Amino acid sequence: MTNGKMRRRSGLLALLLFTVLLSALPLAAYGDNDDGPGNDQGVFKPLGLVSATLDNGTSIIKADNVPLKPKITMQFDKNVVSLIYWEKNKRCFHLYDENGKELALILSKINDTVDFTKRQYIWVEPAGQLAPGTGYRLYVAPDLVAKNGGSTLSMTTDNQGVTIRFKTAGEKTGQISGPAIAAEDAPPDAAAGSAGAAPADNKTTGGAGAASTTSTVTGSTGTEPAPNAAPEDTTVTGDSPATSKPLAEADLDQPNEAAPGEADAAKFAAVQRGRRLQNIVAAASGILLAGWAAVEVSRRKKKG
Amino acid sequence: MTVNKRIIAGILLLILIVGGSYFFEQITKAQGSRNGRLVPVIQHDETTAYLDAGVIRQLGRQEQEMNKDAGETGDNGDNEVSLGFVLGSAGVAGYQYIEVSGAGDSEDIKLGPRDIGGIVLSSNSNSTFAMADKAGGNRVIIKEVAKIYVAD
Repeated sequence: MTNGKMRRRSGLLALLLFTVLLSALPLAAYGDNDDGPGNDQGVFKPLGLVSATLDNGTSIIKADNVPLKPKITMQFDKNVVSLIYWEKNKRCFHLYDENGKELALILSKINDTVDFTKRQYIWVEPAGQLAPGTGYRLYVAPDLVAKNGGSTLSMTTDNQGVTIRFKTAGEKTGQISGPAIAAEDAPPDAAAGSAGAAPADNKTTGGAGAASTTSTVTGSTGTEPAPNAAPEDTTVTGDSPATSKPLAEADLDQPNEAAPGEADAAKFAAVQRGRRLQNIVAAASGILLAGWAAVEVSRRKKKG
Repeated sequence: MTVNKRIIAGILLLILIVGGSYFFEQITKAQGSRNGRLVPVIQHDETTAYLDAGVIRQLGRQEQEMNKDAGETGDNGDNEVSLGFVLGSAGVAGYQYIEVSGAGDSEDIKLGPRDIGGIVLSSNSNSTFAMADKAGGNRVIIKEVAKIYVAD
């Protein structure tokens, strides 16, 4: 075998190895985001919020011109939609207006058994229209738990949960008329909880053609339960610190909350940068692989 | 075999493995659905979740835990979970009725939102699960559940 041939073969093998390694890098990073069963000592990786964005991809954190019926995509860094913990997790989401009144939410998810790629996403939507020019607070309780059963949001938020503040577009008009669940204007099937007493809207959303399922979480703070709600619906927010301390005025000004836009902003930005880098590396490795294949084909054609 | 051929064969093998895995998954799901070991929950003509006996057991534990936290005393057994809790966990909310089919020749059962109160699912020893009416003296309605269809 000539030296030239050997060199070419070595070069090809090196290129192949390089491509495989490049492809493996994003996979390793992807694997790192998996829940993991926890180590021998039962220590779990913490669960964190990655982003909270609107349909157009803009962040809702401290956003000002939020539509009156926003659909918020909340991405976490672990599986939060597992049906084992969904009943518990859906009670962790709360929306409050400026007066501390809790508003009903529609939560959607795509089951991980149906589309594994959507396991880190929860879609949050107010049940009714929000009032224009009004500040709102979306609170995710620290009890939010990943599929592994051990990673909770409290681990990344110093047991505070995540608070996202935003303001709706438009001018404030008189008294706030948010979509609080009152007996007369509650959606006929609005409720949450386990008895399945006809709660919530159902619709198909989300990507990849997978069916998403929705649940309406009703607020109990200062509101009447929906007429046909199951008894436990009124305690939907019972496990949340926000209920035991129902959004006092002082809370709105609390400077040291674990809001992603504040204390954790740098961390979120770093995570997003990391994800962008992973995507770039994945794309680069794909292009390299395709290029290598093209070169090989053309070389063989020339040879032939 | 030249190096190039080996590389192409390797890539083809990888494609075959990936494709084969997807195919195997589909076959397993179809077989599991037939024999009641993997039960699809179907809404809007789409599968929204898959249930199996293990999930039912885990959901049962979750329900007990949540009842305990809420200070309620659920009367479900160790391997039982209420149907309402299962539907809620699968993300199923507003619906007109659900239709539960059994494996084999068993009849389909239609249940409205108000009928499911005393209905529980309990895991069987053969990796399937049954549907029983707790309120009606623990009467088994479907021995091996095969499909849960949700109608709006």
